[in-house]
Amino acid sequence: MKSWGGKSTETVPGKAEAENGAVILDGPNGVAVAMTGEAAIETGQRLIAAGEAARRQATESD
Amino acid sequence: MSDTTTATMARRQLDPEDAAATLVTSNFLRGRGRERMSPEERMALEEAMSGRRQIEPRKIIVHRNELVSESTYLISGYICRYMDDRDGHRQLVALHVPGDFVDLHAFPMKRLDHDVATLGPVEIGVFEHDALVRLCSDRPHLMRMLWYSTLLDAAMHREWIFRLGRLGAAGRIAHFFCELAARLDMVGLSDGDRFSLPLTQADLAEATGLTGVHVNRTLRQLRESGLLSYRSGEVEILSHGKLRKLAEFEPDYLYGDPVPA
Repeated sequence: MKSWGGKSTETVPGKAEAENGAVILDGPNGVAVAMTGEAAIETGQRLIAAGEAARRQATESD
Repeated sequence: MSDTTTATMARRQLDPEDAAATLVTSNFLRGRGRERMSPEERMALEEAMSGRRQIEPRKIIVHRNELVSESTYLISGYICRYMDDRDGHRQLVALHVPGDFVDLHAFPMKRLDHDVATLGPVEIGVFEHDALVRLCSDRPHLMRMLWYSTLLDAAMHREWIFRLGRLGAAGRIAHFFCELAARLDMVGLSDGDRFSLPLTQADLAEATGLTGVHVNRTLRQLRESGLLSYRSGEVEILSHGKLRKLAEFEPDYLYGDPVPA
């Protein structure tokens, strides 16, 4: 049975590479984005902060 | 006497099947697995065409929301439908190949909710809506075939939504080329592996929801992986099986031959 209710929360990290002065993010789950280096660094810092917060939330709910 | 009328009279001297093959609209629904149009219906469609036009690349032929009184049959070249966001970023929402009725939707709707433009140089056949009204009232089966044509557009739109919503960069580009290869094969414009496609990488980016740099990199990866080569407007599919697998491409939605029993 296929799942309903939208995309599931991804457990596989995306791949990020630098290409011609841009950062290319591929996956997971259909993500396909290119960003400037500055935008990628800021996004990365926000992802780390959000990732740590999400991990705390998961621990607290256990 | 118009060129179209003169040509039509000349065809009447031929066997109906042979005559139908010489029509400029002969690619309409060619290779599609639906019931066939009769030679008489094909002739009637051709006669309903009021003229032919050559149009330069990158010209808008239908503006969003303008009243439309004619529909366009694509004889040669490529046409796209697109929508721009508030910042002017473009999303191609459909690509038309020879044999397609590009804006038949405007026949009942009288306006379109998107723009239609040429990509490379094109030749089109013009069908006044008044002529289509007469054609539909005189020939109900032909009307169903025109309806069928717009349903094929809807099927491709659904597939394009799937492509953008579920596939990654490589899958989106692979899917785009798999679809085009299949459609061009139906109208005899591909030898199965190779075809011409006068699109830029920016066009490809706008069709697949990617940036130009992402498209460039993905095309290189596809080439290095032995799946697809796209250089100077020439496409060569190096591995149909691998490309289709990557694209999750099943051509059923194109409703190709054979005609079901």
